[in-house]
Amino acid sequence: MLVTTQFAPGSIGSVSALPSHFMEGDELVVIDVESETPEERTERFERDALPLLDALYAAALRLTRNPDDASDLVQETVERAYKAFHQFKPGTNLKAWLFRIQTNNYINNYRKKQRQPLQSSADDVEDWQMAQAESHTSTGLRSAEAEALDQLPDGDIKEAMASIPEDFRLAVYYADVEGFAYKEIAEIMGTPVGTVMSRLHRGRRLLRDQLTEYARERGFVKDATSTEATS
Amino acid sequence: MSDEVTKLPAAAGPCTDGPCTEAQQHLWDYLDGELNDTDCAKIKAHIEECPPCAEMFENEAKLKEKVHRVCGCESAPQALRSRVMSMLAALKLEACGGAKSDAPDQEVRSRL
Repeated sequence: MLVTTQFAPGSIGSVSALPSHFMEGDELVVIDVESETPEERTERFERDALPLLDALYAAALRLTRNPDDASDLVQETVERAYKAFHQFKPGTNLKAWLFRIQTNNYINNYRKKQRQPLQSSADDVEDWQMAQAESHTSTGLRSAEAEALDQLPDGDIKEAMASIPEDFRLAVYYADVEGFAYKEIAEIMGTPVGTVMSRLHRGRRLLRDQLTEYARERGFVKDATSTEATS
Repeated sequence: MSDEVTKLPAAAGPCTDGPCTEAQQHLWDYLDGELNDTDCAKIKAHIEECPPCAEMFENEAKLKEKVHRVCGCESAPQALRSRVMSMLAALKLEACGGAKSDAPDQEVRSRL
């Protein structure tokens, strides 16, 4: 189901001096970035990058949690990407490249601006959460809980996503919504793969806890937490 | 082993050891498409013969799918689209005009 694209660490889209050869369907495409004219490059950018505008915007919304900031962030991302497009290696993962630009831009320019409460850094709890994740192997969703969560309106899902700390939210978003491979997420977020995995574990658990809370408030969950009450 | 783990749900628990534990440990690697073919086949084989694990995997997959559907559906507003297009037009003019101003607006295919 999920398509994963492999590339070497530190190499998202980085260009080499050699022309890029890659297959597009049955066709061998050769692009020599060195000798490409500005017109050709612009055309290639419009053709390849612009269709990803919706995906960039959806991700920007998850980052900024605000439509105006999301639009500004996307516009800046497109501008930066356009100006740096000669550095992108054709045939590699353009979507991951764009997401990395957007994520970096957000971290450097938006995060400070946003009036959101300072969220704990994921790194503070890494060891602890790794241990937790290890010991939570048998906490898969049970059917009653899954059914309750399935009834939740879409707004609750978005709200629950927005409620989890940024680093965790991004990991979950990139994996579950965009379907990026762990390795790609690591490149986009600039962290080791192990960190991505632990953030994913923790993020998913936080998301699920929040959703279960909403389901309880809405009366979809009768008393699924009786175990807690009795402990 | 230790008696610390008392918070496990009281609901009819599925399997808790052997191949079930192994499958559950790799639940997310499996659902995220991160396992190699051999491991993937191993987990798949286990799920096929273990209904409680199958149910758990299916439930998590369903939630993952719901998050995917709900959170990935926003499309860029028209206003943003227009802003991006005019910004690109301006940048294009800058880039192309700077490089060779005598070039008429001819479409040049970059794909060989």
